Amino acid sequence: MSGAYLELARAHAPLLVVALPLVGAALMLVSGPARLCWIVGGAIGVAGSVIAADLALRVFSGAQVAIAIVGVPLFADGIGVFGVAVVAAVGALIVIAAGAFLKDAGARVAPLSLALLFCVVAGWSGALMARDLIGVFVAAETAWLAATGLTALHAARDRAALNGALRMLGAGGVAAALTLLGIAMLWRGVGSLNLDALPLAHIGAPDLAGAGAVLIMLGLAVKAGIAPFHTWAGASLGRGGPVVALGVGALGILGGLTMIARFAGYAITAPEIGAGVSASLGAMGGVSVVIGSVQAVGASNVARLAAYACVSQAGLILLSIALGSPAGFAATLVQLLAFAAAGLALYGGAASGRVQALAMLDGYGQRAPLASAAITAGALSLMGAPLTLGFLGRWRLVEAGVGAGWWWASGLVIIASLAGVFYGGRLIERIYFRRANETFAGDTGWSRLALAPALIAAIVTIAFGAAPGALLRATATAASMLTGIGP
Amino acid sequence: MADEALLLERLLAGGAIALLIAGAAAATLSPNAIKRLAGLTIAGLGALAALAALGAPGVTLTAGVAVLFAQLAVGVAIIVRLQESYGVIEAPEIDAADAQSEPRDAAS
Repeated sequence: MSGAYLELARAHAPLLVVALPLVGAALMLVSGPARLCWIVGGAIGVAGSVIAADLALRVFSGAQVAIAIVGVPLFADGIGVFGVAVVAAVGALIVIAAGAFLKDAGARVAPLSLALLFCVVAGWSGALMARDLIGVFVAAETAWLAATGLTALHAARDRAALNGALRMLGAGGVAAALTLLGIAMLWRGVGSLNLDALPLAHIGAPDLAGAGAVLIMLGLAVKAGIAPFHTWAGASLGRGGPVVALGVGALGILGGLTMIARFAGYAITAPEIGAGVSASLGAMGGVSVVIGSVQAVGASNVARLAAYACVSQAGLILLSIALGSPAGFAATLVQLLAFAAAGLALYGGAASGRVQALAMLDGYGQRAPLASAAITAGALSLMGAPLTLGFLGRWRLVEAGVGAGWWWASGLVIIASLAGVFYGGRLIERIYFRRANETFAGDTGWSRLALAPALIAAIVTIAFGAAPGALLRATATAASMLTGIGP
Repeated sequence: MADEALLLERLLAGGAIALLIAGAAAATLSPNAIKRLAGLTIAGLGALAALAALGAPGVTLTAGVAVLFAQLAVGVAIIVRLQESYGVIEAPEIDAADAQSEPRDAAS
C-alpha cells in the first residue's frame, strides 16, 4: 500500500517540490511555539529535498520519468530538475540552521521567518518547473516578495534591514515591470509563452522577440543580484542578519541565477534570437565580474564581502550561460553548485559566531575551529583554488570558452580569481593569523545549528572538487536535456 | 486599415513603454519612499498597458495585476515600518542614519 503512495508521489514529484514548501509555509503559521515550528519545518524541508533529489537522480540516471499532468502547466528540463534539487537542499539546510536564530528573532517573528523561507523555496522551485512565462513570472515574484518580506521582518534586530527591504522592493518592482514588458514583446514576436515552444517557433519579429527575451533576463538579473543591478544587495544582506543572509544571499540569488540559466537554455537555442541573448548575457557577466570583485575587495563587513564575492561569481555563471553550448551549460551547473556551497559556507560560518565586521574574525580559528574551516573552504572556492568546486567550475568555463574562441572569458576568470585571492586571503589571514579582540558571541547551544549548512557546504565544496566524476556526469546529462524531458 | 491598426498598436505600445520608463525613473531616483512606491505603481501600469497593447493573453494581465497589488501591499507595510523606526521616509536621511549605526572595523 505504501509502495503505491510512494509511486504516486514520485509521479507527481514536479508538483510536490512546489506544493510541499507552500504546505510547510502554511503549517509554520499554525504550529504554535517556535521550536515546534522549527521541527515541523525541518521535517518538511528534508522531505522536499529528498523528493527533488530523487527526481533528479531518476532523470540523470537515464530512467524514463513519467510526469503526471495535473492541470498546472509544469515542465521538467535538465536545468530545472538540477536547479530544483539544489534549491530544495539549500532551503532545507537553511531552515535547519534557522533554529539557531529563533530565540533572537522572537516568538512572533520566528514562525513568520520560516514561512517566508518556505515561500522563497516554493517560488523559485515553481519558476524552475513552470512551463510558460506566466508561471515563471508569478513564481519568481512570489519568491522575491517573500525575500523582501523576510528582510523587513528582521528589522526588529537592526532597523537598517528595512532600508534593504525598501531597496529590494524598488529594484524588484522595476524588474517586474520590465519582465512583463519582455513577456508582452516575446508574445508579440513568437506567438506563444511556452518555454519549450521557443526553440522551434517561427519567430515573425526577431528584433522584438530578442528585445523581449533580454528584458526578461534583465528582470531576473535584478533578483539574482547581477551588477550593476544589485543596488539592494549591500543594504539587505549586510544588515539583515543571518537568516536574511542565508535565505536571500544564498537561496534567493541561487534561484534567480538558475532561472536565468533555464530561460537562456530555451532562448539561446532559438536561432533568430540566440546570438543577441548570448551577447547581452556575456556583457552582463563581464560587468558583474569586474564590479563584484572591486566591491568585495573594498568591503569591511563579512556578509557584504560575501555578497559582493557572490556577485562576481554570478558574473562567471552568466559568462558560462552566454556560451550557449552544452559544455557551457554543464559549466554553469557546476558553478551554480559551487556558488550555493560557497554562499552557505561563508554566511553560515559567520552567522554561527554572530560575526559582522571583519575585525570580529580576528582569532576566529581558535575560538570556532569548525566555523573557521567552513569559511576557509568557501573562501578558497571563491578564489578558485584547486581541489575545490570553484576551481572545477572555472576550469570547465575556461575549457568551454576556449573551445568557442572566447579567450576574453578566460581573462575574466583570471580577474575574478585574483580578486578572490585578495579578499578570500584577507578572511583567512584574519581567522588564523590575528589575535582575538572581540567577545565571541556564538558556537554555544542552539547556535551550533547554524554550523550545519556551513559544514555540509564545506564538505561538498572539497568532496566534489577532489572527486568530481559523478557531478560532471550529472551536469553533462542535465545540459543535454536543455529543452525538456516530458511529460 | 491594417496599416492604421499597426500604427495604433505601435502608438499604444510606445505610450505604455513611456509610462513604464517614467515610473521606473521615479521609483529609482525619488528620495521619498511614497513617491518611489507611486513610481513603481506607474511602471507596473505601463507594463500592463504594454501587455494589452501587444495583445498578450488575458491571464498575463490578471497575473500582472495580482503581482502589482502584492507589491503595493508589501510596499505600504514597509513604509509604515520605516516611519515608525526612523521617523522619516526620505531615503537620504535613512541612509545617513544607517551609516551612523554601521558596525565599524576598528582594528583594521
